[in-house]
Formats: sequence, C-alpha cells, structure tokens
Amino acid sequence: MKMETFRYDNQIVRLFAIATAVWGLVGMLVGLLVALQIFLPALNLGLPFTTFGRLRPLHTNAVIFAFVGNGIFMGYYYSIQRLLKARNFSDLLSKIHFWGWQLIIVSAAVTLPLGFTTSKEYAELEWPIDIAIALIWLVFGTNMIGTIMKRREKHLYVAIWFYIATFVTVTMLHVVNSFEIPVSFLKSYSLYAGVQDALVQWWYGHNAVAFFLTTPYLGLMYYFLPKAANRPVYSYRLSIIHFWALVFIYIWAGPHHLLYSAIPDWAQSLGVVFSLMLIAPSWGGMINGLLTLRGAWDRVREDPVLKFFVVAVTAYGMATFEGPMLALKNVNALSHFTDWTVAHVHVGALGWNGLLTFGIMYWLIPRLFDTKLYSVKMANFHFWISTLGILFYAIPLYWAGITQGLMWKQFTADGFLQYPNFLETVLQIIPMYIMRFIGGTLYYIGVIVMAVNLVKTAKQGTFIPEVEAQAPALEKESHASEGQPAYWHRWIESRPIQFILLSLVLVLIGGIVELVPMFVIKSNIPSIATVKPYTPLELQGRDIYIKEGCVGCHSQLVRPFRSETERYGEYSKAGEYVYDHPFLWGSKRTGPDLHRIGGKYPDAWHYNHMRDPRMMSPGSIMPPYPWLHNNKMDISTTPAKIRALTKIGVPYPPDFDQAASDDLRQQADTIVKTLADQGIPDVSADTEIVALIAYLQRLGTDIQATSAEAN
Amino acid sequence: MSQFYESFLGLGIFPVIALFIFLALFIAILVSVFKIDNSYLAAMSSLPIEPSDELTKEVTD
Repeated sequence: MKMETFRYDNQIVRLFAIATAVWGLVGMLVGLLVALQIFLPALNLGLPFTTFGRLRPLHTNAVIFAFVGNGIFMGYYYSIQRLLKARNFSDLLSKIHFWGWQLIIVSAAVTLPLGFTTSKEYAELEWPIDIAIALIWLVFGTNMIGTIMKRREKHLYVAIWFYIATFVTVTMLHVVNSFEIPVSFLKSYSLYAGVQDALVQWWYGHNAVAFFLTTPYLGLMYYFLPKAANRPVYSYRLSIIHFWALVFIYIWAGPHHLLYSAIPDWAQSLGVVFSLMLIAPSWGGMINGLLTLRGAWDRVREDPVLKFFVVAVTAYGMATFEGPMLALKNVNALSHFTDWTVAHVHVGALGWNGLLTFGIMYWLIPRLFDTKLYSVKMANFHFWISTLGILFYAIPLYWAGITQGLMWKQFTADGFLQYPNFLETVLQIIPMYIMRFIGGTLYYIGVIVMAVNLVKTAKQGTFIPEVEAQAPALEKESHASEGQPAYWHRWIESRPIQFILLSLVLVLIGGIVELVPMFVIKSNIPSIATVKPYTPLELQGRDIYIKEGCVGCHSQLVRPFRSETERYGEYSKAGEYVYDHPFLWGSKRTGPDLHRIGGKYPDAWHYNHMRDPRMMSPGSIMPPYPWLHNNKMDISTTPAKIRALTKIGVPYPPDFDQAASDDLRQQADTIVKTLADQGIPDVSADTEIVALIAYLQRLGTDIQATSAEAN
Repeated sequence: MSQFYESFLGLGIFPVIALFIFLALFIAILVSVFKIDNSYLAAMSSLPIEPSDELTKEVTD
C-alpha cells in the first residue's frame, strides 16, 4: 500500500477563526444596542442609521452569517481535510471563499444601516449582494466537492454528509428566495407577491435555521465532540437515521411560521405535522451527541471544552423540543408575534451555535498554535457567565412573551378587551426587556474574556500554517470486491455525487409539494375587486416603510381571532396582498399590527407621531423619525418602479410609468392640503413623510371599501 | 377564508403521498442500517479520533 505525504492547510482555519471572533463581538454588540433601544428609545439617537429598524437586521445578519457563518467555515476547513485525509482542493478557492465572504459581510454592514433592504427576514440584502452570496457559496461548494473527489478516505464520515446537505440546500433556498426584479442598483422587488411570497420566504427562513444554523453545526458536533471526548461517536447507525430523517423532514416545516395567516390551511397543517415529526431526528442527534460522552463524563468537570459542548447539545435539544411545541396551533395562537419566539431563537443561537463555536475555538486554537490554552480558569469563567447569560436572556423573554400574549387576548366580563391600548401590554414587559439586556451583557462579557484568552494563547504559541500528514492513496476497489457485502449505505457513503443528488432530491420533494400548488393554482387565490395596485405615492411610502425596517416591529396580518378583530378590525384575506411585492406580514409585534391602520387616525396624527411618538402616545418605545419630515422623496426611480412591478404582474394601466410622477405629485398635494386643514401648514409635498402617510392611510382600506359596498 | 380553503381541496393528497415517501424511505434506511456489519460501523464512528496530525494539546495540560 503506497503511502502519500501531504499537508493540511491551517491558514484558512486561522483566518475563519479570527473572523468568527471579530464578527461575534461586533454582531453581539449591535444586539446589545438594539436590546437597549427597546426600553431606552433615546438611544436611537434620532439618526436614520442608528435606529432600531435598520440595526435589527444588521444584528441578525451579523450574528447568523458573520459569526455563525465564519464559525461553520472554521470548523469545516479543519475537519474536512482530516476526515478525507486530503488538503483542500484549491488554496485559491479557499482564499476567495474567505475574502469574498468577508466582503459580503462588510457590504451588509454598510447597506443595512443605510436602509437598503429587501425586508425579507434573514434575506434582507439587496440583489447585487445576493448574487455575490450565490457566487461565493458556489466557490465554497466547488472547493468542498473538489476536496471530496481527491480524498484518501473512501467513505464519507457523517459530518461530511451534513456539510453536503448544507451546501446543496442553502444553494436552493437562497436562489429561489432571491428571485427579484431590480429597479436600481440597490433596490428590487420580490418576484413573488403576498401569500406566495410569504410561503417562499418562510420556506427559506425556517430552513436558513435548519440548513445554516443546524446541519453544519451537527457536522461540527459529529467531528469535534468525539475529538474532544476522545471517544467514538455513540451510534453510527443512529447518525445515519438522524441525517436522512432530518434532511427530509426539516424542509417541510416552514409554514409553521404562518399559522392562522392567509396561507391555505393544508399548508399550515403540513407545517405543523412535519414540525412535530422533527422532534424525533433532532433528539436522535442530541442523544447521539450526549451519549458520545459515555465513559468521559468525569472529564466534563475539568475540561471547559466538554462543558461548552454538553450545554450546547442540551440547548439544541431544548430548542428542537420547543420549536415543534411552538408550531402547535394552540400554542402558536398565544406565542406568535411575542417575545417567546425571540427567546426560542436565542436559546438556539446563544446556546447551540454560540457555545458549540466557543468550545471548538477553545479546542482548536491551542492546536493551531502548538501550545496549551492560556487560561483554563478564564475559559471556565466564560462557560459559567455565558450559561448564566442565556438563562437571564431567555427566562425574562419567555415571561414577557406569555404575559403579552395573554394580555392581548384578555377580555373583561362585559366582553370588551381588557387592555385595548396596545401600549399597556408593552409597558408591562419593560422590566423583562431590562433583564434580557443584563443576560445579553453577561453573555457578551464571556465573549470578550474568550477573545482575550485566545489572543493570549496565540501569542504564547507558534502558529503552524501547514501540518504534514501521511495516508495511503485511495483504492479503487469496492468493499464488495473485498468479499464483504455492499450494504446500501456503505455504497452511497463512498459515492459523493450520488450522495449529493439524493440529498437534493429529498429536499426538493418538500419544496415542490409545498410551493408548486401555491403557484400552479394562483388563480384560485380569490381576487377582491376593490383591491387595487398601490398608487405611485403609496408605493413610495411603502418603500420608505421597508427602508426604515418598520416590519421588524409591526405586523400586517390580523389573525382570525376575536381578540385581534376587536383590536385591529377585520381579519386579513389572501386577496388583499396580491400586489404586495414583497409581503410585509412581519413576525414580531413590538408595536401594534398595522394592516387596518388606514383611516384610523388623521394625517396630522401620523405626521406628529412619526416626528415624536411619545407626543402622541406617552410612554411609547417607538423611535422618532424626524428625518422623514426633511428628507426629499427620491422620485427619479418612480417610472422604473412602475415598469418593474408591471413586468411581474401588477396591472397598472398601459404607459402608466410615464404618468406616475404626476400622479404622485397630485396625491402628495392632496395630503399636504389635508395636513394644512388639520393644523399643520407649510408641509413640503416632496418630503418622505407625505409618502409614508399616503401608504399608512391606504393600509387595509380596500377591504373596508368591499364592506361598504356590500352594505 | 373558507372559500379560499375550498379551492385547495383535493391537494391533501400531496402531503399524504409525501408522508408515504418519507415512511418508505425511513423504513428502508432503518432496515439498511441494521444490516451493516458492526466492524464497519465501529471503524466509521472512530474516524474522527484516528491518530492523525494533531498536536495532542489537552486544554487541561
């Protein structure tokens, strides 16, 4: 057997490790700031780019794609070389992958605070960045497949299956969800509208959690946990069942984000059923991880790496039990739109992703720098303060979510809403927001301590950029030819192309069954005769609503509950959203739902409220938007917007793009006149606030027209 | 809303088919994994902890 000598590339691992720590510090700091802004609105600073609506997507993108993303690639590049006994396919592709990914993150950090956003959660980045993401992702995939092809280990270990599933599925999700029609360099409209857009977005959104925050981390768990415990994985059989069941089931669960919404009932039920089924493979993975520590539990007491891993895997188990519970319609009726969801997400992000990343870094950095960890005490301190931080973060938010959900639904004995003023339900949970901030701060202190500890570790050691290794060349003959039976899974484990194709087919089944009917029978979405396309001014206002991130705090979806119809008005119909590119249903109500806000208040109320929310609603935590009263509308792209929307099916009259600017000005003049009549003279018709008022006053009024006609 | 749901009646067959596909796949994998010989499983599960290039620095050294 001929032995081959080759070298593992540690440089790319080090680069991604540095990026993980740096972006972790940045992303979580932004998280702390937005957590503060919720109960101290003055910290929005009255500036557009420091306001909650724009910073919140920056936080989520920085933590998910920068911190966790770089963490994935750090662990991936270290483990795949060793599991395949091969150097990465191309050092150049590795470097393009690294620098390309960082460039995308910097682009996000610049564009999101400037208000360039698609508004679709976890997919906020505009179309040129979407294209860059797709290209860099393909670079990552090409490098991975190339490495697999030149491997010296015939069979692919379970960690690599998860890496493959991640690559295949994220490619599919990102491409399908990013279909949009560009209007200008950093402005586009989603190709899908309303109900269809919602279903595609949450098919993507849920599976971003599944295939970006979960499957690659399971791959890392299956490599680094046995490594740190120095024990083989508990059950390879279980890992096979875990992988295939998880990959098949996960893709179906997206509609549980849209329960009681205007999407069809069969899709909602499908989301619920598959969410419940998800418990089995998820817990299979958790049990497999924890039982890998059998015989090594005594070391957990001493070894901070194992401590991080144990709590991370436990947090995974908790989050994957809680997720299906939240997907039950009766629980969801209470939890949806509340902070309960935020708590759930953070148990996964801080516990599962965060702690697993930290454990890997504590294990990896000393090895990359040929030294031992600078301070075990500091690592143990980090472990305890971060665990405490998670508890201080999550428990108050569970409390807040349940409290607010119950208050929204509470009726008096006489049948009236007990808390008709939404603000009452917000002020009740402010103490929980303060506690959440304390929890986040504790967690962040831990990250700073880790950064210091790892920098000191690196400084006391010597970086080993390449490590020499030896392995026999890959033999061509199969196990069957060696006289052993060729079981199906052994067969596919050694055939990466077939493996990739099978993974793709499995994730496609869920996607096709859920999405295709929604598009094929598009005509069955009942059209409402009175629902018309937005006027150019309303469209301008809608774009400002998107730009300012209003969707981060306000839903536009009245669910069919009496508590909601009493508070907001008629429940939302699918046909009302047919011209909504993109949909703006939201997923959190830090403020009230706005789908029926049109006509509820005079124009002057909106004008004053946007300038200083506390003037109109004392105690409100909404940020002020004073710049809207000074900023001039950019109407240079109005004809292009009309043309783009016409292309994707919005029925504007022929050549309306030519008349759009005049139409916009006429409607703006009417609003200015109304404002003057209501005591606010001298408002300039070309300011952004005028467009926003036009949009807000339009919301939900189409259906009112229907009701009026019926009467 | 009810009209909207009605228009989708008949589509219930898709999830049922999907469920059967999953069950068939699940059973096939279940049968398949129990046929795999233990020595192979042991070798595969030990892959990450095979002696390799690593500098064996224990955190608690």
